[in-house]
Amino acid sequence: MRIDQIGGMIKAFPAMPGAALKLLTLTDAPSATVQQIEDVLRQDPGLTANVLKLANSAYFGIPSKVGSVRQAVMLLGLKRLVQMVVATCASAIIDRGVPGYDLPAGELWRHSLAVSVAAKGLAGELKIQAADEVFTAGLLHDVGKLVLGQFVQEEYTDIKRALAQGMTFEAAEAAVLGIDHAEIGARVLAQWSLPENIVHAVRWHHAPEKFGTVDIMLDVVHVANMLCLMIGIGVGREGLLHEPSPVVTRRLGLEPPHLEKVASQTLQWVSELSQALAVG
Amino acid sequence: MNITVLVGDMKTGRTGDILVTHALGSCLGLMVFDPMAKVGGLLHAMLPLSSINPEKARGNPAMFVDTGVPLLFKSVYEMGGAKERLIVKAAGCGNPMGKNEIFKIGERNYTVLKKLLWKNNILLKAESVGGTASRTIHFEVDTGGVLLSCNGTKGPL
Amino acid sequence: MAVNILIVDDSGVMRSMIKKSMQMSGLQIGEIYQAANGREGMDALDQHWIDLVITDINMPVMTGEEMIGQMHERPDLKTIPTIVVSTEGSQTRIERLKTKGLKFIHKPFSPEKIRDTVKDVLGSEVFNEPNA
Repeated sequence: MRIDQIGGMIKAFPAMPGAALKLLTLTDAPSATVQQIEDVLRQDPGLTANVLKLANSAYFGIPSKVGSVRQAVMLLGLKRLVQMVVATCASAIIDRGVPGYDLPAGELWRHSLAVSVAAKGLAGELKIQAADEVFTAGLLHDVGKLVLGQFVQEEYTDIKRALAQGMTFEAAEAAVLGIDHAEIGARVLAQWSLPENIVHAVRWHHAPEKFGTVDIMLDVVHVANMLCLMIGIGVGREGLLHEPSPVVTRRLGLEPPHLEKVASQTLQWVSELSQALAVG
Repeated sequence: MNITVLVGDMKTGRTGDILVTHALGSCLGLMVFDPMAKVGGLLHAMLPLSSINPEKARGNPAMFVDTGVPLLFKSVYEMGGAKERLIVKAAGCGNPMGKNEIFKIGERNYTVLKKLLWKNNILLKAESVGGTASRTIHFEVDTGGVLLSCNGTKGPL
Repeated sequence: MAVNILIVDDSGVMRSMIKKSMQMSGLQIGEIYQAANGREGMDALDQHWIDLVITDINMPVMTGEEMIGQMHERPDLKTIPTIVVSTEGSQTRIERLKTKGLKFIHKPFSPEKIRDTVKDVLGSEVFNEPNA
């Protein structure tokens, strides 16, 4: 039974390194201390080394040499540091080709980076306060494709038939395979015990209106995802077979200049961030 | 030789060159070809108007239709192309589903292109624009032949 | 072989646009005549040799449909290839025109659409390469 197969693959999905998950939980806590960060990282020397390399990379433009976690936290800020840690760990998991979606090696990862930076950029452009986790939500929103890819490939004839009826790509996934990549992604992240708002943002990133509550972070990820697909980053087999939500557009007060301004900067942001992460 | 044109990029070529660009979602892919001089160019422009980010346009005019298209034509003229001989084809300018006008960047790209062409008395020879598919182009400068991949099917444009 | 064209439309702007489109299209053009309504169109047809008529429908004094009706009653005018360019929404009217052997282009139109329709009607021998 395919749905059991999928369930099995979700359960067997590679785990995010424990240190990264702990750090994510710490950023949530308002009273997290540098000491706590140091304690978590001490248990993963490889990760500590990466953090220091990242902090010293040209991307952050820190003039003096960063020699300790404490310094890194002071200079980058806790949230930024954790984002970089999560990105480093996520790349190991996400950076591979997904033939089912016609995404060559590196493209899904590039798309994930693009959505995370575009989401941040969009929040800035709209002058709204999206949760800091918007970066992480953007980064992880498509992990579900890593599981669903092979089934999309196998059932592509049926999916095409469903698409011919005028539905979106994720609706076709659900119609033919019983589940869509957003839901799978959400289950994986829940398995990792990630904060709930990130799980929800991933679950509903194609259909924000289906989520009972208004969530700015979800809205922003939804728009950023659509934007990146439109400008050709990570647009594989699904093309533009998605529907940007008019409700979200109204909620955010989104206008063409916002979208286009962010689009014009996204490639540069992706390039800068990739370079920084490549250091680690 | 295969020359790849990335997003926000423009490249020219001569006999023996194949200009390639991928993932034209809402972006505009514009091909210009002079069959006598056997020179041509391919533009992959992302956004309609440079006024949205003038600084970016200064450094990368190919990112915008209104600065990229003149750049493309100028570059092909510099290689010996003559305006009266040019054959022009367009692809891309796709849009997502639904009626959300804010997201119709592809349509806006197309509109700016048509305005520019009209102002310069140029007609398109062929086009494959709109819809939700992501297109890929292989433009053979020798023959002017364009192979278009759209929705899994390949065919000449 | 140069083609003489008659453009009939009550909007001067629209006539200019059609004229420019024809000039861009690579068609070998002789003379371009203009008329602001069906009555003026009939006058032009009487005074000049016309090879192609491009006309709107909704015009004062005499509509495009009336003009076409009159053209079809004259042995010397009824065979002139005619293209209708109109905002006309009525499907019945459009069908009626099409059964009379006319091509129909919806406004707003692209210059490429006009070129392609003219090519359809007159054939490609009257066009210059390469833009044809």
